[in-house]
Amino acid sequence: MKSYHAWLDIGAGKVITQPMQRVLCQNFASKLNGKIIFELGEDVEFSKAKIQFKKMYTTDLKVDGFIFLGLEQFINQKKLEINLIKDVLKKGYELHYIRQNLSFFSITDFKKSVNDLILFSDLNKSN
Amino acid sequence: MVEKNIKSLLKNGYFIYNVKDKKKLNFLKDDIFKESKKILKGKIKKNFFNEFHNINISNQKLNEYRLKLMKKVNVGEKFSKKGYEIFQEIIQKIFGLDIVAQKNVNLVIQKPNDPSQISVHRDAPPNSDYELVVWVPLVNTFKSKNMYILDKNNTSKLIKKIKKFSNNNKKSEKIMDFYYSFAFNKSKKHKLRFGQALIFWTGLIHCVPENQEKETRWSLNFRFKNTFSPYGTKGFPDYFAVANSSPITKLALEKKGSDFN
Ligand SMILES: [Fe+2]
Repeated sequence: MKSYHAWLDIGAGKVITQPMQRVLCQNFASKLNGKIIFELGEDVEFSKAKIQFKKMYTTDLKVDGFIFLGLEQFINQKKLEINLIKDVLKKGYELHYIRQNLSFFSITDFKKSVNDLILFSDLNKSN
Repeated sequence: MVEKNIKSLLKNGYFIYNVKDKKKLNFLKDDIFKESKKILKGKIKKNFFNEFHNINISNQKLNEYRLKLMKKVNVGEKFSKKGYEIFQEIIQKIFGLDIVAQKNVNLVIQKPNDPSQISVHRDAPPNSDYELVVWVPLVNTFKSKNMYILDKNNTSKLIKKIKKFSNNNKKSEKIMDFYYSFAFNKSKKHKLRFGQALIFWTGLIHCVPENQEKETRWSLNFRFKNTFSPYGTKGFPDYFAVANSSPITKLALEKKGSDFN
């Protein structure tokens, strides 16, 4: 069975509380034939910079990948951090975004979806 | 023909479109039939679509069947892609070359005398005002085996009235009664053949009556918008996928993509 870290969106807590987010993450993990073994959320002050996440994935973790609520968690200064996505995948982790129902199992998936990621970033800028 | 369609779209907010490549439309219908055969096994009857209500399955099983069927036809966005191919010409005339299509095509099955699907609503909001719905009946429609549409003028008249009533603190049941009766009375009841589509703006109110005919109504709906126009709550890439890109978008994506090679 695969194991994942879930990254909750603390800033979204007003609409989707943390227990609700937990259910979504667990449900998504089970669809991937896996389970959540650890759950984190960025401190709101640092969430944009994703300091904790960056520190985490660069250390050698015994997990298959990370589950996020949405790509929105990867937006920094109105831009999607596409390079960060690529880097995480290059390290061999999977990345999953529930809202977009978007799963990257490997860098090959990234190459297939890179145009969608660029468009997502550009559309977000104009909002 | 296309000019006539656009004229009607601007004036009424909708038009009836005659599908040119019926083979592609037939492919969708055949695919639904084939998948249904697999799911329902021995229960298939003659004149499957119109006579669907005569198949003996419970409501719960019916729902399971519909969900299974939708999952099948939406694998790899198969129906969405086919839909774009069928309506490409008119869609490009309306939106230009940068087009996104809703990934999951919705399939609606309305059996006779089922009041649970009665509805009067418009799609935007929460959908985008910059979006079109392509409603494709898979069987011929007539009388109450149909969907009714309120044109642009009547829609705005009705919305204004409803706003006025709400401001004057009219009782909500009274407002709803008025809303339903105005919409059902003033809406157009077009007969559509299989091979035609009702293409309408998301800002229009439309009505689904109770099907009181002796045949089941089947319909698909597709949604299209320009890639770069504002999105409703259904966003990119969660609900929409790129169906076509203009040359300039291709250049921009190529340039930006090279940063991630
Ligand atoms: Fe609708």
